[in-house]
This record gives sequence, C-alpha cells and structure tokens, in this order.
Amino acid sequence: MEYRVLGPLEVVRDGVPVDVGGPKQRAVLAVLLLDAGRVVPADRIVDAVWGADHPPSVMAGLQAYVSNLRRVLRDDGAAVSPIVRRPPGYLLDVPPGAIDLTRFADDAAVAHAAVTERDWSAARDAATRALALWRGPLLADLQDEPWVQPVATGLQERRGECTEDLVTALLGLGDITTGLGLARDLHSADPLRERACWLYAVALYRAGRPADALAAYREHARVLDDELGLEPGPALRDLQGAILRQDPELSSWPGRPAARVPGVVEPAVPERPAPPPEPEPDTADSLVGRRRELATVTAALSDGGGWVILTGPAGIGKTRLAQEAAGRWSRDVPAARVLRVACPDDEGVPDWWPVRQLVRELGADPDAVLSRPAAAGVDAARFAVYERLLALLRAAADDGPLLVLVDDVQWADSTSVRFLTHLAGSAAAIRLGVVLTVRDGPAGPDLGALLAAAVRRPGTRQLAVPPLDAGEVGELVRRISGEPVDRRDADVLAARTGGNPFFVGEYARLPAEDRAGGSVPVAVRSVLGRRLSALDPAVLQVLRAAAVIGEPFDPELLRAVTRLDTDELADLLDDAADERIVQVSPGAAGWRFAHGLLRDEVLAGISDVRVRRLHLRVAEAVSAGGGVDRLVRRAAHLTAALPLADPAEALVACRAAAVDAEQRWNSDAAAQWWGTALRVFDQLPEAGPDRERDELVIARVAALARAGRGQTVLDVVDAAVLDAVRAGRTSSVGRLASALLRTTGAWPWAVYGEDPAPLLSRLAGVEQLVGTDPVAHAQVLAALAVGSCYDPDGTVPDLLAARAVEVAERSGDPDALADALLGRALTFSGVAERAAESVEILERLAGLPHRQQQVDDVLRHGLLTMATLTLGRVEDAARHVRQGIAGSELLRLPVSRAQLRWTEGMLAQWRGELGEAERLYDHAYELHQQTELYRSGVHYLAMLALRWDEGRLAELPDPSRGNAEIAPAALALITAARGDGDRAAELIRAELDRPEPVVWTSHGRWAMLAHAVADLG
Amino acid sequence: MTAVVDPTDTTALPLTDLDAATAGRVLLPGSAEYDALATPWNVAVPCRPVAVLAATCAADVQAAVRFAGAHGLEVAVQATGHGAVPVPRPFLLVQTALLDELAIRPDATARVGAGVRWSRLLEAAAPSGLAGPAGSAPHVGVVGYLTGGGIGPVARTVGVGSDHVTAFDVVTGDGVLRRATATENPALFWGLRGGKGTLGIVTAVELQLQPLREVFGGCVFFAGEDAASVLHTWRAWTAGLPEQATSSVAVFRMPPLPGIPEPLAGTVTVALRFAWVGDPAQGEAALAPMLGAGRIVLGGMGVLPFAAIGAIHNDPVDPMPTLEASALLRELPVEAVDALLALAGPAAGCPQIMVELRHLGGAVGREPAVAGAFDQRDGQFALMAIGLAVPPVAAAVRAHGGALLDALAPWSTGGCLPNFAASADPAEVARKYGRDTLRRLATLAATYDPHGVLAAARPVRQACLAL
Repeated sequence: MEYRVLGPLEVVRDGVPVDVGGPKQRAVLAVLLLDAGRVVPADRIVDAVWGADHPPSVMAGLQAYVSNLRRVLRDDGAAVSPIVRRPPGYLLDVPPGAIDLTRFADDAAVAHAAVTERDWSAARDAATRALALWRGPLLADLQDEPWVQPVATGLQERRGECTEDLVTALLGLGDITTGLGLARDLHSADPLRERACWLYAVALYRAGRPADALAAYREHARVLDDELGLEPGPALRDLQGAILRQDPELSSWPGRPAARVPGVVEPAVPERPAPPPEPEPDTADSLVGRRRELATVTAALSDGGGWVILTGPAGIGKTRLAQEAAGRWSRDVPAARVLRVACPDDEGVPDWWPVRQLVRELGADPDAVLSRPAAAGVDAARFAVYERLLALLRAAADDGPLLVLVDDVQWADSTSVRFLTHLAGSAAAIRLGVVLTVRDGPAGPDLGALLAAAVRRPGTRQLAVPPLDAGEVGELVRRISGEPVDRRDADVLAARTGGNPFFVGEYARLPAEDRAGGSVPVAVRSVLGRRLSALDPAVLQVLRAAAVIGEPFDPELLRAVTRLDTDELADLLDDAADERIVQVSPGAAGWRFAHGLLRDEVLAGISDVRVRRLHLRVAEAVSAGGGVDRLVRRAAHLTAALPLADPAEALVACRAAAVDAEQRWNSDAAAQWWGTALRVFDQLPEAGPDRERDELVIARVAALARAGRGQTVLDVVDAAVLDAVRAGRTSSVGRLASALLRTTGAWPWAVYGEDPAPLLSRLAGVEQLVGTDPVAHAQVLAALAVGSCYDPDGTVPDLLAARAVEVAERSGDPDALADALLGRALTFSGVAERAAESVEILERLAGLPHRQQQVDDVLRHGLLTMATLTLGRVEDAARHVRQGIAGSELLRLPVSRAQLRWTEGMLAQWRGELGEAERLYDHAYELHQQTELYRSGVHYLAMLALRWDEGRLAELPDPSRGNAEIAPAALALITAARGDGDRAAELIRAELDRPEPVVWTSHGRWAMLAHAVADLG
Repeated sequence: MTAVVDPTDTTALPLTDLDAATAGRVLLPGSAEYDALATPWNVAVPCRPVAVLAATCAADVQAAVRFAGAHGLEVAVQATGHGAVPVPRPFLLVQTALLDELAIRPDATARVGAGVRWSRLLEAAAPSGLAGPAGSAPHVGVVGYLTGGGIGPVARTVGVGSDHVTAFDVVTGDGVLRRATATENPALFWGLRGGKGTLGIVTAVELQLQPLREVFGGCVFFAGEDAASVLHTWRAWTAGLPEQATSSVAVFRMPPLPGIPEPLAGTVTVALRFAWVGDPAQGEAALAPMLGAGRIVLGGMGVLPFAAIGAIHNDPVDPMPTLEASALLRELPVEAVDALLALAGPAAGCPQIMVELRHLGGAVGREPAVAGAFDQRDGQFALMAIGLAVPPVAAAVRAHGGALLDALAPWSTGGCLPNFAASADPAEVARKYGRDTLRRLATLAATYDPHGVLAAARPVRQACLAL
C-alpha cells in the first residue's frame, strides 16, 4: 500500500489506485496522512473537513468516514486497519516508506547533506529521486482547504530548496545544460526568489553566456524594484561583480567533488530569502476521467518530439487535458519545461501574439526577435525571423526537454499560424514537443495548412476530446460542489450538457440552493446565464466592458472605459475572480475570462447598441493611451462600433492600421486591414470616389501578393472585377487588371495560385465590355494576354498582347501603354525566340515616364535577366540580377526577390560555382514555397541540372510527389545515368508518347530526354 | 475602325459601299429576296438583319466582317438556315449558300464550301465508295454541322463529325481569312471543331472521308400503346450493343397534316431508328430482339446506300417553327425511362411532336488525336424534344420541355450537344461546353475578334463572365 499526497491524494495497492471515496472522506484521510504516526484530535479533523462552524451532528459523519476508510485501506491479508482510534482522536499507522511525503523529506535531506559535503553524484541522485515524487501541488484535489495551504507552502519551499541542491549538484558534475534548464524553471516559477536567480545567473555564466547572466540579473533587479521596491541582496550584487570581473572561481562553481580537490573557495551564497506567498493555484480540481486520453497524449509526448492536436467543442476540456498531460510529462521527464501560450479571441489582437508570449517565456525580448532584420533582404525578412525563432527554440530544447502548449490555435493570428506551420514542417531537428488545442469549427486556409502540416509529421497524434460519461459528470459535480449527485441527476445533467465539463462545472458552481431547488437546467446556456445573474450588477457592468475590450484586458484600459476609480475596479475584479469568472492572464499582463464561453455569454447579454457604444468608448480610451498596438485596437473597436462611430474616422483608423502593418512587414495583417477599410468605405454615408475604392482594393491586392497569397489575390481580383463590371466601372476593371500584372514579378500571373482559370474566364468575358474605355481595354487585354501565355497556340498571347499595345498607343495614356508593354514582355518571359524582341520592348518601357515606373524597373530587370541569359549575354544578366535585387529590396517586392534568387543560382552554376549554386537554389526554394507561386518540380529541375554538371546524376533520389510534370523525363534520365539502359529506353518511349501541352517545363523535359538518349548511345 | 454610327439608327449605314466592295449582292429589307434569304429554317426565330449579303467568295465574307467592324454592327451567318438564333443588336447577315465548291480528292479527303449540304457531298463521294460523317438530316449544311461537333446516325461507329475535319478556311472577326489546321493556327482549328460560329465565318472545310458504301438499317414505328415496352426493351438492348450499331428511339405525335402517313398522323407512335456498319446479316441478328418489343405499324429495315442515310430519321426538310429542349444523360436506368414515359408516354398530355433518345458512347466517347472544342463526350444518351413554336401550343411546349429536363436531371451530365437546341441565351450556351473550353473559346474570341463583330461569340463571352 502506497500513500501519495504530492499531487492529488492517491492510495495505491499493488500499483492499482484504491477508491478512497468522496471529497470529505478523502479530506479525513489527508488530514491523518499529513500527521502520520501522530494522534490527530477528532476536533481538528472535523474543523478541517466541515469548517469551524459545524453542527454537533457531524461527529457521526466522521465516524462513518473513518469506518469506510478502514474498510478500503485494510490490506487483504491483514485484518488490521492502519487507522487507529486513540483518544482524543485517530492515528494513521503506516511505515514511513509508504508515504511519498516522508520519502521526499528523507531524500531531500540526504541530497542537502551531500551538497554540503560536495558529494555531487549522491546529491544529484537523492534530489532527483525526491523531486520525481511530485505529481502536482500538495493534495491538489484539496489544495483550497485552509489546513492544506500552510503545509503546502512549507513543502513548496522544501521542493525549491531540493531543486536548488539538484542544480548545484549538476553544476558540480559539469552537467551544465540540465542544470541551466532547471535553474531557469526555478527562476521563472518564482521570479522573486533571490537564490533561484543567483543559481540561474551562475548556470548561464557557466554555460558560456555571461551576457545572458547579466541580463538575468538586471531583469531580476527590475522585477524586484517594480514589484517590491527593493534592491537585489548583497549576494546577488556580489555575483554581478564576479560576472563582470569574469571571476575564475565562478567558472568552476560549485567546485569539484570534495574528496579530490579540497579547499575550493565558494563564493558567497545568499541566504534564502523568506518565501513569498504561494501564487493562487489556477485549477482547484484534479482531472475527472480522461484516463485513456491522458495515456494517449503522454505516449505521444514521451519521446520529446511529438506533436499533439486536441480538438473538440468549446468547454470540452481541451486545455485542461493539455495542461494535465503537460504536467504529467514534466513530472516524468527530469528537468522538463513546459511553455504555455494562449491565443485570445479578438480581432484587435496584434500579430505574433502567441509567439510573442512564447519568446518572452523563453527569456528573450520579443521586440528584438520579431523585428525585421535591417540587413536582410526584403523577401528574407519573414524567414530571418523564422530562423531566429527556430534558433531560440533549438537552444531551449538543447538545454532540456521542452514542451510548448498553444491554446486556442483557431484564434491565432495568421502570422503566428504560418510560423507554427513552418515549425511543423521544419522542426525535425528540434526536440520539441508541441500541444495544440483547436476548437471545432470551420478551419480557414491558414489553420487548415497548419493542421495538415502537423498531421504530416511522423508521430503526430490528433485527438478529439470526448464528452464525459454520466459517472464522470457526477464525479465532477461532487468534486466541485462537495456534494454527491444521484445517478439519475447525473444522467440528466450528462445528457443536457452533452458531457461538457465546462458546463457541468458551471452547474456545480451554482449556489447550493439553486442546485437543490431547481432541477437541472434545460439549456446549458442558461447555466451560464444563472451564474452571471447571481453577480452583483456592478461586477457585471465591469465584465461587460471587459468582454468588449477583448482578451487579455488591461485594468487601466478597463478603468478608462468604466470610469471607475482604481480601487473600486480592483474590488469588482476580485469579486469576479472569486466567482471564477475572470482570472489573471497567464504569461501576460492583464486579465482574462476563465473561459471563452463566459465572455461569449457576457457579450450575448448586451444589446447591439450597447456593444457598439462600448466599442466606441474603448476606441476613445485606446486613442488616449499609448502602446504599440494602439492603432490596431483603435481600428478594431471603431469598426466594431459602426455605424455608431463615424465611418470616415473608422476608415482613417483602418488605413492607419494597414499602413502600420505594412511598415512592420506584416503583409497578412495589412491585407486584412485593407479589406476592413474596404468594408468601411462601403458604409460611408456618401459613396466615396471610385478611384479611392479602387486604391483600397489594389492596396489589398498588393499586400496579399506580398504575403505570398496567390490564390487569394486571384479570388479578390476576380470578385472586384465582377463588382466593377456590375457597377459599370470600366476604369476600375482596368486598374485591377493593371495591378494583377504586377503581382507575380517577372513571371506571368497565370503561375499564381492553384487555379487561375476563373479569373481568366472573367477577363475574357469582360474584354468586349470595356471596349469603349481604351485605357481599361488595353489593361484588360494585357492581363488576358499574360494569363493566356500557356495557350498551346503561341499566337494567342502574341495577338492579344500586340492588341493591348495598339489600343494603349491609340489611347495616348502612358500608364496604359506601360501596362501593355509590360504585359507583352511578360508573355515573352522565358520564350527563347522572343528574347531579342523582349529586350526592345523593355527598352521602350524604360524610356516611358509613368506612374508605376519604379516597380516596373524591378520587373524589367527581372525580365531582362531571363532574356539576356537566353541570348547568352551572361554579363548583362548578372548586371540585371544585381539591379533587380537592389530594386526589389528597396520597394519590398518579395516575389521578385524569390525569382531573382533562382536566377542567382543559375548564374552561379553557369560560372561553375556549383556549391554556391546549390546553396542559392535551396534558399530560393524555401522562399518560393512561402509564396503561392507555381512550383511543380522547379527545385528538382535545378538540382538535376546541378548534379548533371557534377556528374552525380545517379545520386539523385527518384522524383517524388510534387514533380508530376517533369518526373517521367527525370526518371528516364536518372535511370540512364544509373546504367539501366533497357528500363531507360522504355521510360523515354513512354514519355515521348505522352501528350502534353507546351508549358514552361516542356523544354526542360525535352532536354532531359535528349540527354538520356545521348547517354544511352 | 471605330463605331461611328448609332447602332440603333441603321438608315445612315453606307450599305452601298458594302455592295460596291463585294461580288455578291447586298439585299435590303423590303425585298422578297431579302425575306427569302433572311428567314431561317426555324421560322420561329426572328431574323431582321440590316442587310443580307449573298456572299459568293471568301473575300465577300471578309468585306462584310470588316464593314460590320467599322460600323458597330454584328455579323451572323446562314447557309441552310439551320441553327439560327436571335441577334439582339443591329447585324448584317452573311448568306453563304452560294459558296458551293465541292471537290472529292484522290487522298479520300473532301473540300466543301460553306453552302454545301450533306446530301450533295454524300452523292458526290458515293461513286468512290466514300462517305462523310453526316447527320440525321442530310439537307443540313456540312460546315454548320461540323463546327458543332456532329452526332449522326452512325455516330457510335465513326465518332463525332468534327473529329474528321482536317482544315478550315475561316474569316475571323478581324476580317482576316485564315487557314486552320492541326499545325497552322492550331487554336482556331481547336475552337472551330465544336465552337460553332464563335471564332469566325467558315467559308470552306476539308475533311477525311470514310470507305463506307452502305449500312444496314432503317426505321420502324411501333404503336403508341407499346411505348413502355419499346423504351424499356431498347434501354436494356443498347447496353449490349457493339460499336457497329447506332440507334435511337423517338415518341412521335405527328399532326394530321397532308404528307404525314396515315398510321402516324394524329396519334402516338414510337420510332426505332437503327444503323449497322458491317455485315448486314449480323446487323439483322443484332436488331432482332428489338423488333418484338411492340406492334409495328409502319416501316422496315434493310440495306441502304450511305447517301440515303437520311431515310433512317426522315427529319422534316421544310422550314417550320420549332422549340427544342435538349440534354445529355450519363446513364439510362429503368427509373429514367419511367420518368420519360410519365411525361411523354401515350397517357401523358405531351405537346411535343417528338421526344427522342439517341444512344451515344462508342467512338463518340473517344478523344481525337488533336483536341477540339467539342467536349461533351461523357453523355451516353442524348435527349431531345421538339415541339411547334406557334401559339397556343408554344407556351405548353416550352413548359413541357423544361419539365422533361427537370425530370431527367438526376441522370443528366448537365451538358448538351452544341448542335441541338440552338440558343443565344448565355446560360444555354454554357451547357454546351465545359468551363475550360468556354474560357478558351472566349479568350480566342477576344484574340481574333477585336471589335466583337461575331454575333455567335456574344453569348459565349457572356457565359464566361458569369462562370
């Protein structure tokens, strides 16, 4: 029989948990366990279990619980129960080794003694044993009880000391990595604990990171000052000095084992400061049910690199399960670390929100990590940030097992989702566990891509969190309310709540008389309604404002919106926290609702008009304040306040948010804000000018193109063209066509996205309708020509582009002519026999002053690179690449930049710098993949050309998925190189028989087949 | 080359310039010749062009197209008047009946002018033992039929008519006379084989002929009360037929008019049309199970010279006002036949003169070596209803046609054949082509018709805009 209190109360017989009954009965046992071997007076037990004001009749209850416990705790063989009645109370008589608490105390003492004696291995072993006993906070299921708290606080302190001893031992043994990880945990778990900071700084120093060690010291000093108005103690100040001096003693602290090198001087170790009060635990209840799910999740996490996706409806307990699994994982794995970040449900949340938290948790400065690198190329900005993030995670994972828990991924901003997608695709090298919780619902394309990427990883587990069964529902109610539920009520409750633990919990938290008097509510929603209606109206007012502000909400902003004074507001928030409606937001300043559904319920209880009025007030309050995300929040709240807010003002705010996002290189967010600006524009009381609207659409298209969202670009242009046609705005159609031409750099727009066909149809259909407007007509013809560049009959794009030029010339409009010339050059992009003509057209474009000249110069250089290369003018090509790159960086044209990278690779290969070429190709491919540009085998083709030059063709892997168009020809070539002539001949014949329209891969295919034939002799 | 004339005011058009520029005559409204040339086969389709040009050569056609482009007119074309559709804008009608060149060449190809009907081509080819992929009605023009694909009485054996075309001479919307073959202007060659008049006015076509002297087949009429038995038997029977056999069934309600045979007039009958390419004895054996499906009231089967292939369907030759409804079916299960019988069987109040099912598949379903714009190859059966477009029945015919398509919608491919149920309604035109085909047709229309002259392209472009 084993008794465990370091975590939820557990009694285990032969490895099987024993059911020790309901909360009160468990409490009786726990009281006895904490004082095992000593008599506990019955009064004290009763006070602990029933509270001080208990009726006299409870003594009978105590006796009943004791006799129940005796029954279950009796060992099969022995007739003697460990609970002994001994006036004035009871005594638990079990061997010391049977209680984890005793074992912990013993091992911790052994460890501490060994540290004093500098026996590092003995200290490490004992401390590891001791710490491994912890499964959670002391008596986690009873931890709210007043009699548990003082004991828990003391024990927590012991646990901290033991961890400190372990860190010391590990540093002594030279296991810096593990020591550092633990020290960081210790420090972040308790930022005010001076000794933890001391150890962390020493560990950092010993890990060769003196700068980080100093930073940790400074941060600690800042926190101390902010929170307590104190300065760091002398020991820490001494440590700072030692670090600055690079004190050699510090490099060997805590010194070698005593037996071998006696007399090593130990720098002053600070006295352990008085422990601060334990933070309020955020979960009062241990997990009900979920045994199988926990096993699945922990198994998936066990090797340290697994991804787990937990899905389910709101309130089903995804987060709870994730936390529990993460907790268990971190208890089972020595020196493990769990980072938890959450994504709030709020439109106004700035980009990178969850990643920002993650970076902060990793101890780095989010602004520094997420800022656009000044020196990097424009296109590479996002990837440079990705690289930094990956490096940060890699370093953290190298320090010790790491688990990242991302909550409510469905609400994450697209920038963060894209990073997570990147992580899922590239994290093979990082030993990093990831748990994502995702609420059921339609997944947008970004989330869809993330989930697809995660699922593609080997070993990823996706788990739909199931509802609780009736038994578990009953158990949950009993644990929360402390009162049993009969089976019939549990069945009804399970059916009405769909086994949703959140609703069950809210039900259990209803006042007892509500639960007893009323039947189980018919609608789960009304459970929440009843909970909220029980609140003080003043609290509810505050919650309403908070719900409108969004999560996490800053008390200062809330104060400005509610116009309450600080104390008043703090009291009301505390009341709400007592009711478990709100809680302090983990990892971030501010508060949040205890559950998203509570916020929804609060919002649902406010009339639309009031919601808008509140949004307006929030917008005003935000305007008055500062903060990096001020523009975004203001725009979001003003938009939400429409039509109460002035649409003109909202439009200005949206524009500002969009421009701000562009300046921060967040094209996704910019596109979103341009889109919102458009919606607001359409609500202006007097319709704004078409041109202004077009400019918004075009800004959105440009941002989408910059974000690499090819298909969205096509869809948006398509929809806007249709709108414009319906409204008879031919010039808008033309401007859209003109914008479309410039979304794909030096490549034709038909290579963008998955399906250019619908937009092409639209342009073909609209061509005659804009015939009366020569400018628009030329622009549409140019876009149609470029979209048709893969027509099997090359005359088609040629005629269309020629007509575009003709119509534009007649119009006398230089911008239309520029569009037409650019269109004509784009249709010749990559067409060898038109290269010379292309150069002439581009010269004409260069000499034509027009509005888009700057951008067109970049596109021109890109096109000239290809044309001159085709003409064998390598020096010219190299010059155009340089000029194109300079321009693409200056003007932030990532698509052009990606294309020029391919060309850089080609030039390097031409010069015979094969290693450099390979590097450039790899880089280009990574960038390319982040755009939605057509890719079909492009990287494989480049590698094939390289290996050919190197004479290593036979080493190439078989062309796999994603290379459909070139795979057969490539396979023939490789097979020939590997010397299998018959098979190669067969493949060549089959490929020659395969009908295929002439597209950009055709010449490559034919060249490969010709080479293969030549190889075969 | 800009539209300088108010398109609604056509009196100011310098039509005399056109007359002077062409060898053919320009006919103006008010003359009997204008009426004779402008009136289409389907007399229910209004056709009031600003003038008719009776073209005598390709240059005439070019002149007309250029004239239209210069004066903001559209151009429509007629040879035999089949497949006409209303043109909502002022237009010039190019009549190509006089483009009547016809040559059978030693290499078994034929060159055929736009005014030539199938009957003339078949008669000319017969002495060499050759034939072309003619339609059910040999009085239809060769060019119009082939530009719409062309599904004839031996379609399952020889395939789609347009698959046999080797070249076109075409005046495109820019007034240029172009030759289109698999290698010369391949996009036009693609688009003219199925795209009807979207890309230009074809002045001559060249096609590969087949060594086909005769077929075994004909037509028998069953009594209307046996309609269910005939249709169900036919349904089951077609499933096992080889490609040598092409057949169709049609429920007829012929009016009691002079010239209609007595057993058919004023009553319900069911026609079975059958054609077998190959040994007639085998054809007869293959046909046998069908002949017992009901009481035969008229007709018979036998060996026919290919030039007499029109006898299989006996389509009406004289112009008449008609309304058509048409669809392609993926399959024909028992339920589909029942649905058709419920609306067209002897007990139904069906206002259609004919409700027909043609058996497709076989060679029709095979892609030709060089792709064309005819892309309705997945239909296994073609449904068509024809009724009179004269009041008071016209409204009932239209409603019944819609009901028939709705009833068979569960088995429909969603498409229909380009030559059937001619229409200028973009939604109807969109049924005749897949999306990709429609898109390329519209792109080519934009490419080759800078002024939007060709009336036939308008619904294609509109359909594309609405995709």
